Amino acid sequence: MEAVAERNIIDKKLIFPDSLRESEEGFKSTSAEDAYATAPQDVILEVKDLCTGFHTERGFLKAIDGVSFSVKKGEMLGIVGESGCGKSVTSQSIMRLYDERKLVRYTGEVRFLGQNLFDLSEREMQHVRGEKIAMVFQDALSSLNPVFTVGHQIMESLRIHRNISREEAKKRSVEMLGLVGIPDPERRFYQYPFELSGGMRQRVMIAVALACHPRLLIADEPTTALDVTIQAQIMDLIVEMNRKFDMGVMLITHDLGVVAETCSRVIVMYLGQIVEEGLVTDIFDHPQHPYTKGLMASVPRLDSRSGERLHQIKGTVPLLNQIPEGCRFAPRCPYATEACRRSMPDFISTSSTQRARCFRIGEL
Amino acid sequence: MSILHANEMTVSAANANATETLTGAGFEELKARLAKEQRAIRIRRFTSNKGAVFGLVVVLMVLLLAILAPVICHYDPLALDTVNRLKPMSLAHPFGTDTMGRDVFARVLYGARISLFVGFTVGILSGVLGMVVGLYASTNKLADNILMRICDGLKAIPSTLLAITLMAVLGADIRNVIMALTIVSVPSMARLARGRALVIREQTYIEAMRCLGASKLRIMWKHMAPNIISPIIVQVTFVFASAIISEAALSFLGAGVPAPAPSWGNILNEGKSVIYQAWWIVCFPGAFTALTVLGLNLLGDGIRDFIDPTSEG
Amino acid sequence: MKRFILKRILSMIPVLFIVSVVIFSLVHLVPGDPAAAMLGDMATAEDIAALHARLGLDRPLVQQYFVWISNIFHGDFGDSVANHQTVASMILSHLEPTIHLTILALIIAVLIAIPLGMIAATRKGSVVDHSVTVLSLLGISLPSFLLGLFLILVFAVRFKLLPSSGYVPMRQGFWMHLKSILLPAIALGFMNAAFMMRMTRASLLEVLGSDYIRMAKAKGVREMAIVTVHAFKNTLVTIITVIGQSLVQSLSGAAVVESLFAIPGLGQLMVNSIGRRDYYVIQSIVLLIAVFNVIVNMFVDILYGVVDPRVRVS
Repeated sequence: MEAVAERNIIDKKLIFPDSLRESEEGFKSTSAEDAYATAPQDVILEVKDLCTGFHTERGFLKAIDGVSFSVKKGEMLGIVGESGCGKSVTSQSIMRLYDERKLVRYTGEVRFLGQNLFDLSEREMQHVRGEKIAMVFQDALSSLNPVFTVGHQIMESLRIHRNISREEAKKRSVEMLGLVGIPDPERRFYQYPFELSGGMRQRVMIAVALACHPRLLIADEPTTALDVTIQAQIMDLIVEMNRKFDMGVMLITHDLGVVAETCSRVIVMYLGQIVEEGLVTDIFDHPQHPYTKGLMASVPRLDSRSGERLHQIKGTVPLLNQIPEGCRFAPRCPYATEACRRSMPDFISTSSTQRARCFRIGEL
Repeated sequence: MSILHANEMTVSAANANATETLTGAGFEELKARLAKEQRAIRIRRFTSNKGAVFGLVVVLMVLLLAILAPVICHYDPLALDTVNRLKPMSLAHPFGTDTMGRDVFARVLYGARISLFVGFTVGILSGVLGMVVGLYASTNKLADNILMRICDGLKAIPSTLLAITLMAVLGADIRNVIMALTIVSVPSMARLARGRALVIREQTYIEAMRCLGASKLRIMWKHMAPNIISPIIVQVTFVFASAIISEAALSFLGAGVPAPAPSWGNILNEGKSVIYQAWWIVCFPGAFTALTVLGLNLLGDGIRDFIDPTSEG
Repeated sequence: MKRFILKRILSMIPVLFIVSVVIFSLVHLVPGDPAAAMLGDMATAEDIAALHARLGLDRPLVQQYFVWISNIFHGDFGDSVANHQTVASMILSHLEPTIHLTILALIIAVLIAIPLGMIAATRKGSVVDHSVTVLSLLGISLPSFLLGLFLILVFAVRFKLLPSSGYVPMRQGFWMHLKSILLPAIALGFMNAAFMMRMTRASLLEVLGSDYIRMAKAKGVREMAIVTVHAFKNTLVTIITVIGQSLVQSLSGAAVVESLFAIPGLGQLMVNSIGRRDYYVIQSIVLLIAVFNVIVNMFVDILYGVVDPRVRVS
């Protein structure tokens, strides 16, 4: 099985259309090493030109197209965008969770602590998942296995990645349950997911993810399915854990309020690409890309007048088999020009911390 | 308030406008084109399912052979010809002859008539009865309790045994075969119809009909029945298939269609005793039975995917 | 858990009552006089009257039912009309072959179908998957007696490897015994195996697409463990149901297969009784198997509760 996965990765390198790899081979392959060598020591994850495509009934569809970003130690990075923009695909590509035998094809690099994860065998990858990079999903009820106890599911992580006895694993699991703020952890240990409330379940999932003290936590819309008050508690917990373990956090969400409160940097994604990147203050105070502006304007604000209508971005995210030519946002963009519809704008720096993918930066 | 009103009025005016422009010939044309497109999509979806097409072809071919039996084959399926007993396949007898010199090909073709007739009748009867029982049960609490308990009781008896018992009691006869197999298939059908009807009943539009004062019967047959018919149709195809199997099994046991009649089960039953001398008597009707049932099952799967593409086999 | 089991056992009682009423009424569906029907055309009026008295057919139906039921509770299934033996002793003497046949058929089905169904689901689109799909389609289209006939043609007539009929009891040697019931067991088990394969594949596929499987993968669980631990326990409910159904199916399907292979089991006894119009034998066998079915379903329900904690509570 692992051998197959391994071969697939090698095959990918051989078979892949050159157009996809050209840019890399052309100037990055040498400079990538340098870039890494010169990269600040505290970068734990570096994604370079990641493309993820799926073989579907409608042919090969690229869900992610050339995404690059990095996460530093102890940093909380927010990834925002509407549904269908490729946020979740990005995170699951980093973990290589898709079926590599048939479904998916990755290109680019995902460097974790300097190691390209796409070079690893499936077995090596299993040691990364859960131990070094952990993940929290949106719906805890469906993400926790209904027929195993909560305790069993935390212990499982520990037993896989740490060579410890049952008793030791149990002790640590109960500790973990206490750490994520579950009262009476001894009793909860023996309960099944369906016996817990939504907030409790989310805490359990965080406990499962953090059991092995990962270096990076990917939280994929961790609060979307919860009540507003519980949402705040869970976010507080994630921030607390982020500080406590000094781990990087990739927070995927479409809730800009959460991002503003917790993250230091933000990436805005649209249709498989990053359209803007910057510090939270950059993005919130002076967004450059029309899409980011649209997102900001569509958040309800307390200080807005009551009769005022909320702004909305017209239209919806196109399907992957209907990706427009030129700038992908052009068909929905109020400022789009002919040039936008013809060719794709580059991702350019607008300040030392902010970058955006738009022809009309500065004009608007 | 007045602004709101004005807004509403402009909206309705715009709507009226739109319908006005669309009620003309253009609208009819558009409707026709849409319907045609829909049909094309559905047909493409069905024909892209190779199994379903294969099933349809097989079923149609067997049906054609059954209908055209007197044209294709000049032998009487009951005519004895003791001189030519147990003759292997030849030009005169493409499937050979049986213990009494009857032409097996003719018997298989005429047997198709009996098998398809029994299967089809049982399918339709149990579909209709199941729907009546299910719909009625879904609207009447007392009837629901009684009918569903009886269904539970009938379902607790394995279908093969129930059919055999009924045949033992009723006596071997083609009408009784149909009756017994219908009794066996109705409970599941009724359960299915009832389950669907209970869901439909809670839908807002049925609630609305009730508020408008539509009679119970009208709601049941005009509004609920059309919404539960598709799963019933799928189930009817499967009952059709299993009734063919059951009829053959009953006849094979001597408890189905009485002996000289050429049902597939009867041919197999007679062939069994001479299986060492004449393999063809068993082989051909057997293959026909299996193929027909396979065809019907594939067709049923195809219809299900066609009606409800979300379900997966 | 104790309360859950008790509830399941108690819920069996009304079903058993209805089943017994249904089976009782079946025999009384006989058009005309059941006694006359049982004795055939040659019977004299005295014979019929005597049988009437013996069977208590003159009493009201409700009373007849209660006499019948209370007799059954005392182990008295009545007497065979044709055979002058008690029905109970006839059933007992025909029990062994049917049980052995059913168990072997079930073993064949379970051992083949469940692993194949699981492999097909984990390797969707592979050769195994396609063969499983084709095999399970063939299986549900090949009734046991038809497959049995084809098996006889190949293994008995053509290659003369296995006997086409007859039953060798276990005490005359295990291998002879096995040889005598192998073909019937395959014929009986194949359709169940097809059904099991289909269900296992479908339910495992559904489970493998669920969020908690993705979560398990994200935790670093090995693929093998994902299938055999995380997914398997969730598909177990389906598998238990299908095994329960197959057990009852095999037992009742034995009627046809036994008369094809001339195995002196319950099924053959039942089929022979049709010709003899021995309704009480038929009635008793059907009742026994229906009760067995209800009990199997109860065990399946209880096992659900063992496997899935959510079932225990609701």
